Amino acid sequence: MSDALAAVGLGKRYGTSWGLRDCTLALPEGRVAALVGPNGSGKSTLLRMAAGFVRPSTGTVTVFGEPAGLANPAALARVGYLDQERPLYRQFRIEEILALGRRLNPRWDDAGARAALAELEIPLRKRVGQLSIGQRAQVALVLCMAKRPDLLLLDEPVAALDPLARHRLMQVLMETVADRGTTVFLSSHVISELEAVCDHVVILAGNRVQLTAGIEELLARHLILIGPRGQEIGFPEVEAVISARHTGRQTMLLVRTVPDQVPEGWRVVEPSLEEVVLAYLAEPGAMLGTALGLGEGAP
Amino acid sequence: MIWLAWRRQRVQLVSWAVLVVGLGLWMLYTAFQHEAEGRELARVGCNGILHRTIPTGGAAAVDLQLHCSQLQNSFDWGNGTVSLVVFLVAALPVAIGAFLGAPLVADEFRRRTHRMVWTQSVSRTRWLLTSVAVVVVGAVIPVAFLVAVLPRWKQAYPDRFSSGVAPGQFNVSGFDALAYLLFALALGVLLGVLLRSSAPAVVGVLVLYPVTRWGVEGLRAHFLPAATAASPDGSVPAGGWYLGEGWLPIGRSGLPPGRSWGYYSPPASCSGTGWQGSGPCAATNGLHWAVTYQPASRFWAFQGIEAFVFVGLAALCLGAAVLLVRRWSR
Repeated sequence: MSDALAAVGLGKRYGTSWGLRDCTLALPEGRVAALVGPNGSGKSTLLRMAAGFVRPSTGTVTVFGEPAGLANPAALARVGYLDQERPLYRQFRIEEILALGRRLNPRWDDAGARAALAELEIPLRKRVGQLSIGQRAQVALVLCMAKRPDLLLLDEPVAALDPLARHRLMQVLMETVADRGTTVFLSSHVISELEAVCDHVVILAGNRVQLTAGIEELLARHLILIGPRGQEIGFPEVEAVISARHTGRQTMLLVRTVPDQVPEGWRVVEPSLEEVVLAYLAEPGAMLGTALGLGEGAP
Repeated sequence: MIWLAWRRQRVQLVSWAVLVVGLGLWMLYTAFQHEAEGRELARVGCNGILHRTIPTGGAAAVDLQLHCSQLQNSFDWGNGTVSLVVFLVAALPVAIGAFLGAPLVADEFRRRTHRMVWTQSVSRTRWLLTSVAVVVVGAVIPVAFLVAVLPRWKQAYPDRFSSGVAPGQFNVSGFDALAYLLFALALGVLLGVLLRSSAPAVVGVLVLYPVTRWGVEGLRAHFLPAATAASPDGSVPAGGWYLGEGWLPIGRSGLPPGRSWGYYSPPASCSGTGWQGSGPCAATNGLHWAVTYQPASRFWAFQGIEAFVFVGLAALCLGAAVLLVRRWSR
């Protein structure tokens, strides 16, 4: 299977500073990957370059084998992009947003879009400017999904949504992936909600890709070890100590390890995705995904 | 895509049409009124009545003089509107460039909606060209009506429009108003794409459009080599555009390149003969007083040249805008 999205040495410079550097990753078709990282780490920049309207300063990004930004209609029809700011024409009525989607997209799912809006109880006669921020986010999402793209690029899709809407969005995404084999690349700050939907995670920090890994594999290779303080020096069984927290007489370590290699005398807890990601984000030096064999683009 | 372009611009385009068509209708109305007043002034013989200081003939004569003075005031006001209309017609392209051209793309950047519309299944080139085309059609139709009205309107003011080629009259004649319009619009679009913000783009149009117009207007006298005619009193043949006058060798057309009037002059011995005598005196020395001018017959040639220049500039601006939008990068 070819890659839905592939970046090689991708970088974006804004003046003298870099928005994103040396980004190399591949998203095989059908993968649902989460893009996580602190504010300003280049998540949006990466998604915009993939969506094809921001020109890379270095490297290349290809979508289904073609350079992004070629702006040929057939290639555009395969990619759905949700911008962080949910830009929509404020003076348009919702039905006019649907008309826009219908007239500009050959694969438009009008019935689906109407059903989704009806379920959300967003009246079609209302103007975009009259909607709440959350409703506008929903309309933008409907516009994006009804395009029936093969690759969905979602920048902070759950931001501005209430918990119920978040849950619903995750369900819709899972259904879409199951029905159509859509590839999804979404950025988010809410890591805990990604575990259910995503199978891969890409961690950006310091404007570089720090880690690309399958979530299951990532979790399988990391453990939380709890033991008495002062014993963490010289750990042959452990590949790397990602973070260490000390309380009174106890030490809690998040370590990367080879499965079934647990040092003696330590209590073992399985970490959540959030714990692993946060540990890596707090300790950018511990990353370097390629060296781990967790592998960029590992299937 | 045409639907979207129309939906985005319809309020501006309809307002534009109302304003321009309104101006055209008002021009027709004032022109007819002006002609009627002129006829009435002549019929009553107001010219004589108004110059009498004391009306003779009792109350009727007073009434008649009042009638005449009201008529004359209104007639003079009609003449006064001519400069205003000439100014408005000259300003129309600036208005379209600033209020329809500049925000066309700049507004999308400002509201970030370019990110939404560029990620639908329509190429950016098609998106831009369709948007511009809709605005061009919407802007040109009302202005075409105005251009069609202009000749009828000018008929009411024959003294003011004696020469179609002369500056100030050229711009309200023929079809060049449409070429100016295209250029101003394309300039506005390009500046909007380049500066990504409406306000600086509007300022850019307000500065660059008049500068370009004046620049071309300065060149207009040189579109075709000036004609020369002997003219003892410095008047040009009917409808011609006066460029200059002075002594020239008989049979020579125009001054040598880089020379100004005064390059040729009759010998000092002629100066004693006075104005009446200097002509024959100069003639014996092979000189005559001549004017250079652009003949009225070149009107359509000039219109064609100027339309070519401005449509060409418009195409360049639009081409640059398309290239920028295709490779837009931030």
